[in-house]
Amino acid sequence: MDKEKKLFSETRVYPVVFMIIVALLFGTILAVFYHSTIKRVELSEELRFKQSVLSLFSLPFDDVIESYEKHIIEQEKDGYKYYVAYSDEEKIGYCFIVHGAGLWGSITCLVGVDPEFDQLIAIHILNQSETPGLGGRISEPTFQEQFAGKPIFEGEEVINYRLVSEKDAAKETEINQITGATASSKAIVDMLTDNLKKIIEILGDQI
Amino acid sequence: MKTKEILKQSIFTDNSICRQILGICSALAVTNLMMNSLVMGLGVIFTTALSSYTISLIRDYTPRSVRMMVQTLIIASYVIIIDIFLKAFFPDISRSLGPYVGLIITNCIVMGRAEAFAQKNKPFDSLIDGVGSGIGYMLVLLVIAFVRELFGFGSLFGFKILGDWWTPWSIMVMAPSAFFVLGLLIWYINYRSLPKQA
Amino acid sequence: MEINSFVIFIAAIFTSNILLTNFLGMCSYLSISKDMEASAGLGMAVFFVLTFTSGLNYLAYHYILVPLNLVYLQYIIFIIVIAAFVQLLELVIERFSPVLYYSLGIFLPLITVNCAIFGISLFMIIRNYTFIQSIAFGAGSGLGWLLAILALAGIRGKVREKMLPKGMNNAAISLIITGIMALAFIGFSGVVIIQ
Repeated sequence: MDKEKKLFSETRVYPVVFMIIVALLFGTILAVFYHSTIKRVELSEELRFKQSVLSLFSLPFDDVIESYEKHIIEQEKDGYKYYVAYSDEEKIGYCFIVHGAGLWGSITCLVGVDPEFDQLIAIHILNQSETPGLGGRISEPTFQEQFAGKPIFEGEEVINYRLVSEKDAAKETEINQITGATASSKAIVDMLTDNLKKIIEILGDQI
Repeated sequence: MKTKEILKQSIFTDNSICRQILGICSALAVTNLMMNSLVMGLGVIFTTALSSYTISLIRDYTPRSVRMMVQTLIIASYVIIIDIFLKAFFPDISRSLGPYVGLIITNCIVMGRAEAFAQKNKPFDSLIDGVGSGIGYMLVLLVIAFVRELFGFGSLFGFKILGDWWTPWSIMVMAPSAFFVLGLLIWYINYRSLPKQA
Repeated sequence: MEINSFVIFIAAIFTSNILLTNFLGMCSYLSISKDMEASAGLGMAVFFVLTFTSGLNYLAYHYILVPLNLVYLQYIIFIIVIAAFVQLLELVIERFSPVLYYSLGIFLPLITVNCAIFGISLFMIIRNYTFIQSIAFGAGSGLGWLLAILALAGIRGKVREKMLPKGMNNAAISLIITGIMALAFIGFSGVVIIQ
């Protein structure tokens, strides 16, 4: 390895020059690769979001863009963005993006509410960083499906679902938690209560 | 060294995880599902092979003082490429593996092979060694994941194998099982390679 | 994001211990834990590096990478920040405590590729922590790692080779002991309650 060293390679400048060349070379390769795929990544993110919104209301998503355009209207009030879903000219529900604090990081979730604001249509968790295999199971269909059809109000107040064990039958005002993941399950329930209260305040008499 | 010899050594005799005890972190983290293990294994094979190859290519020109930094830069670049690739073409898997793709950079196997082999051998041999080390790593991962996914979820690669009669062992999904399964595996392999005593 | 920083700190030590739950930092953990003193030294170094690099990487990410639209280079930048900090730390230790420097020996450069340090920076970005939360997370993770390695070193000190079944080498028994520790730590998961 030492046999053919040029004189230049023994100078102190050489390592610096070498590093710069390598860094530039690889930096350029990465930049090219990144920019050639960025559109694709953004498109797939957008598709994923729109598809989630559509599936919340059981709307078809064979052609996500077209279906979204046809069924979903984006609205805004006081800087708060939300979505209204229509099917055959009839309003079938509202969709909100809600945020909450999980055990580990923020949770982002889509919540579908019926037009009369009586019950939840469905929830769909978009992002969470809970413990995989434990709290992370809140993303499983079986957990999320139980929110479909749950009432929003208990009397005059926005409901805060009580957690019951995974094995028990859950009443209308209860949610089966995930065994060993009480904190994450509670995080979802609290997130819904807090956000729904805020939403009702913001939207006021529009609903 | 002949290609076949290099392969045999890097996959089996000097298996990165069981013999050299390298690359443990991800071996424990992603093995709750076989699909994740497969993707991670492929990622490591890709990274180790290409970075060993590149590092070996420029080994005669790399000044000793910046050797580690250059290696790290090259490895990091390949990992970023994998990360971007996954995000663009397989976003679900990218989300499932999360930060563990980036952690391939600090996977001791990649750096270890660069230091131990690529610095001293020809590019093509380094490439083969990288491939072999990666394959050895992937095989161990798949074995552990097989146990953990089958008993923890009742499925393999997402396909339900065990019926509803099976109550999944929650522990298999959680951290401790990974330690146990890997520990037992290393013990078994070590036991098998002990010289036979009279 | 409203999680209390102190809660993150405590949780990082016990309920989501960087090593026992997230499997980071295993390589040096397995090899160094034979020796109690070296483990303590390495653990402290890891704690120190983690606390500072979490903060540094947060700043690098939010004030350099994001504004310049270079987020995809975050892996490279983080590793460089960590490597530079460790290099600096090495110089400082060599200058002020040659004893510590000689006992840590090769471990300092090893910290650079310790997946724990790099992993924490990655996690903190994904979880969108604020600056204070990142530091709390780094410090807590460092303490958690220190705790785990001290515990393992202590236990391994008591295990005599005669006790082990045939063929069980250091790595295997360390892993099994760690697994039992991980099981025990799961018992902490009720401690942290998020308001």
